[in-house]
Amino acid sequence: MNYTPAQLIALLIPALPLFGFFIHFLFGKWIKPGFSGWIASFWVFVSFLFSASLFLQIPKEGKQHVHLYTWLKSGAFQVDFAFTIDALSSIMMMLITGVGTLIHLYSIGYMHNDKEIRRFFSYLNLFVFFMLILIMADNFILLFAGWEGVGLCSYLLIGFWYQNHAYNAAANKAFIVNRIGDLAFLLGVFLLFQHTGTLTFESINQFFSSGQPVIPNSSVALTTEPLAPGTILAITLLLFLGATGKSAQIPLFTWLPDAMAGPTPVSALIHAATMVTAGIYLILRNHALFMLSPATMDIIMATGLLTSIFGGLVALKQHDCKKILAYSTVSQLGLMFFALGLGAYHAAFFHLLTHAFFKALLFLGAGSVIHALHGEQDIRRMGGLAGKLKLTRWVFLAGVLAIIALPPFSGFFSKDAILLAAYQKSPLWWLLGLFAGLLTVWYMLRLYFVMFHGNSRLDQQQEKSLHDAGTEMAVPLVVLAVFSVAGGLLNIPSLFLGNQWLSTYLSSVIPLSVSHVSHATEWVLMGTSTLCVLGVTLFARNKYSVLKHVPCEDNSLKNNRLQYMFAGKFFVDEVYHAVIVNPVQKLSDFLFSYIDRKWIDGLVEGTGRLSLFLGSKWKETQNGFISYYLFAMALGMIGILVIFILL
Amino acid sequence: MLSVLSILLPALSSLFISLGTRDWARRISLASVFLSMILVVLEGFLLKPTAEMQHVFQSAWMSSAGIMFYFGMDSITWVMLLLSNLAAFVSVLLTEVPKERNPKLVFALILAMQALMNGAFLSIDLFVYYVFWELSLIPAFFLLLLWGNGKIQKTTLKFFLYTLAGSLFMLAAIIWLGISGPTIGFGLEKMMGLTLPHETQVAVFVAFMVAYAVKIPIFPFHTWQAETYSSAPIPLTILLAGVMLKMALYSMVRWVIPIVPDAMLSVGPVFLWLAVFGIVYASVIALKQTEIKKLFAWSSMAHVGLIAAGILTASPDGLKGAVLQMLAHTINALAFLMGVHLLSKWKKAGGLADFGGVRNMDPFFGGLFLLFVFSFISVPFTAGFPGEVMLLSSLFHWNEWSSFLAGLAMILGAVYMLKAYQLLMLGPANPEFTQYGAFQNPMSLSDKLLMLALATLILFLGLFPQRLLEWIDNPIQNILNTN
Repeated sequence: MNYTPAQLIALLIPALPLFGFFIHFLFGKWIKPGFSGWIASFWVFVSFLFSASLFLQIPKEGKQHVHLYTWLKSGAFQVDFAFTIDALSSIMMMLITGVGTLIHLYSIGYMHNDKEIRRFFSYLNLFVFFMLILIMADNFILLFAGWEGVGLCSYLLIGFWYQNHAYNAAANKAFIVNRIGDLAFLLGVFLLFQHTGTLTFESINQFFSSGQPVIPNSSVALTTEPLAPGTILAITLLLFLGATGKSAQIPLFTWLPDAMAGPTPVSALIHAATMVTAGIYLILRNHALFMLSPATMDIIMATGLLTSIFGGLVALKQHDCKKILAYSTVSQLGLMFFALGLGAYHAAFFHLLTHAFFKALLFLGAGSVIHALHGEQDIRRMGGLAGKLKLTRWVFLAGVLAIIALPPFSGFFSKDAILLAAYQKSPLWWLLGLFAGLLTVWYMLRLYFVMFHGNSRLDQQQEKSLHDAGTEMAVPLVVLAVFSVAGGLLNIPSLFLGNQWLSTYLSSVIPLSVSHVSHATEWVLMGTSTLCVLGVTLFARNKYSVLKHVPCEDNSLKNNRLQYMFAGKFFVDEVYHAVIVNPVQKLSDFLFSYIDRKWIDGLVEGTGRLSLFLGSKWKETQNGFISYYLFAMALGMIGILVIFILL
Repeated sequence: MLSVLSILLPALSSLFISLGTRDWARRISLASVFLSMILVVLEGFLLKPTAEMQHVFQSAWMSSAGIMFYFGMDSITWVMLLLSNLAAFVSVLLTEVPKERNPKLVFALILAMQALMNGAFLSIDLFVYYVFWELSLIPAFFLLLLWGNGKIQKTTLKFFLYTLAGSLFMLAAIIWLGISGPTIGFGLEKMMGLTLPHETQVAVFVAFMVAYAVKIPIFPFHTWQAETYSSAPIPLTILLAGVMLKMALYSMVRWVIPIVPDAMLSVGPVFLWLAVFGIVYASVIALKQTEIKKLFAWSSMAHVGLIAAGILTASPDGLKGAVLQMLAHTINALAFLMGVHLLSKWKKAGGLADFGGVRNMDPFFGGLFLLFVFSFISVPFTAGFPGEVMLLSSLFHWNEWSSFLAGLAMILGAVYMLKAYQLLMLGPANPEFTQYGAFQNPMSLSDKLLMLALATLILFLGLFPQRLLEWIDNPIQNILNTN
């Protein structure tokens, strides 16, 4: 087979991290632990360079398609191992390999004391491979392979420290909750296939833009009439349910906070920057399909908004710095779905990118603190770190300012785009979106001030050994901080005389939507939201920095119902346990001991006993007495005679 | 002619072992299963992916009754032969019998079982098929009785009588089929040419399906399974789960669909829904199982139920997925049971909670076992995935809800398998193992190589299933087009 250079590059991009994985898997024993991270980082970095070169080529040469081989085929059910790289996927690939490289580098410092550092890096490389498959796949089933593959790596990395059963439980939970979404995803794909007869994104998009089935040599009998709205609704809802699993939205978000059991770089890479955005990518990839179902779009919007507010409220009352960030991720992802539901695809994708920068930064910053404090994650036992961890403090602050959407940091631009889209739909949505944003301001500043300002609450040993991030950790922090600050430049709105570079680049995949809002309204909206952010910032600063308030212990919250609900995460886990997990376990017992053992097997054994019983009774007729036999014979003859007469 | 060699080789080896000395029993069996594997590969090379039967051997037996020794294979049969001999290979490799427990008999029985099961796959005379089908129970019966543990007499009797009773209906139907039609005879060609009235088809279908429902097993004919699997020694469990139940699935493809296609469509759905219900039922029950082998039995019922359901859709996707998944399930079962076998070397116990902390001791074993578990729960790029996705897709085409119900096993399977893996392998280091010092050399080189080979097979089948699918395409079209 002949591949063009661009196609070869496209093949190498996922192949290199996979190669890195196999090197570790096969020759791990002979790699020096300190060296392992460099090897792993190297492959991802080369992938990044290749991704960048593709990214530059695409505007000139259009999208690239690479067909490796046919994976599965039966009639029209054809799944190729094939990639399509267009504007959307090329940016995602850059993001994954770029942020991936930084986090690999960071991990060299972060994990240097771990005995199993080689296993760690092999998993990270494997993750990058699967994530790339997910993004590059040209059809639903291959995307699903990547989709499950990243879930698998997430499982491996959450439970990386497998000696701890609590971590293992968190890993299992992540995998299982995702599997619920995966089943919905798969059923959605089957339904889609049943009606369109194809599995590739391109033909499906073609199908929905032209309304005509595009099925090369199909053997499946297809309905020729256009799809019923109910069918499209079902397809999109099933796919969206799949997306809620991977992207931690209501109702399947519960695994993400628990997933913080994994090492912090994992939380940054998988559970903030890349894997959890897969659901958003899925909808972006199939936006033509989702557009056809306004009801689904509304559901996506409502779910996103609800999740965003929910995540923000819960984050207000958490004490574990990683948990706060996790709920913050849930909340920000919710905002992205909110934007998707509004049809503001470009805004959603823009926020996906800026969020990847600042949330990865925040996680890595938090990791730097946790590393310095030897594993302490409770912000109530931190405080006053600003003076001692200078670098970490400044980069963390950059991340905080970006996420709270203060101009001119990156989050400001992306959130503003979302709010603008919300306003176009209805001022109410704008207001609710703003509310979710203000929750972010509060809990992030609370996190920042309680960690870095106020009085130190460290113990003596921690004080003594306090040290800032080493070079391997510092470089990624600084790079991500630069992107968090300046990421807004990617897509400066025309309001600021920008050229909307990102949207323009993306418009080959997702058409630009035209804004109907006058510049004057935009200025008012932006001004209002910025003022609100500033106001909340001042309040938070006053409470946590000036007054040095430290969050109180959990049990003192019992008096305040609302705060108790926030701190208890609205008890969603408990409800799921009571409503789903426990009944299923009870059902299992019931089915096994009552239905299976008692009834079904009872019937089987009963049949056996019945035949034994009948046999033993029948045996008595064979008693050896001639007179008895004669009597029986006479009786039989009489019986036959009677039957003859009667007939 | 080649096909009959696959029966004769293990059969003669079995005879040879029982005549030979104890010390040579294992070596001869190893040589025999190894040669059988080579023979399968050779047969595969010489096989053309066409619809007709190849490597045919035909010789009269009871000509007055139209019964003949009639063997042959197409590519579907070949897949069965592959999994059968693969399972026999692993089974023999894992068999270590102390001298006082009569190794000669054990090995002779294993090889006899292999020969008889190969015979059942290869027969294309329905009567001879039945003879092999029934005879293969006998070595299983003795292996279980002489070599099992637990309440062995009762379990053995139940297993034997239950599966035998199921088959008697099939025998009646076979005889009826043999004497109906223009000539008396049992050959595949005649059977495929029969056009039976619908009522007759239904009767024949039900008679066959009762036999298969017990063997597969399909709910509610499954109660013999969990006890049998947990009492049986691992090499026998491998043969039962890896091969014997596939005999039933294969027979549905080979005999039931071509002979009674109309009944398949009219009454088949009853069994299909039973199978689908059984998938959920078995998966839910598996959640609370505490013994490894019982967990395996229930999960096996769930997996095999999906294959049965796919066959019962009588669609090309369903059949292809089924053949693929039969091979995958055998490989998965071999891999999983191999892991269980190695665990039993660490500690003589069967409960999930008896282990833990194994991965610390042996990361190699722990890592590969994880791959096996992932293949079991059909993660993409492992053997378990392609077949499962095709089966679910074919079910979806048949009825959306059946696919949804069967798909629940994807979730429930993840729940119980990950829990099992966690309990068996993860957690803090287990002081028991360090005390005994057994972990220092728990796996022999052959164990390691075998595990690696199985891991390779799992990845290979997961990544490149297409060759196999293409290869079985013609015979499957042929089977579906007989009516």
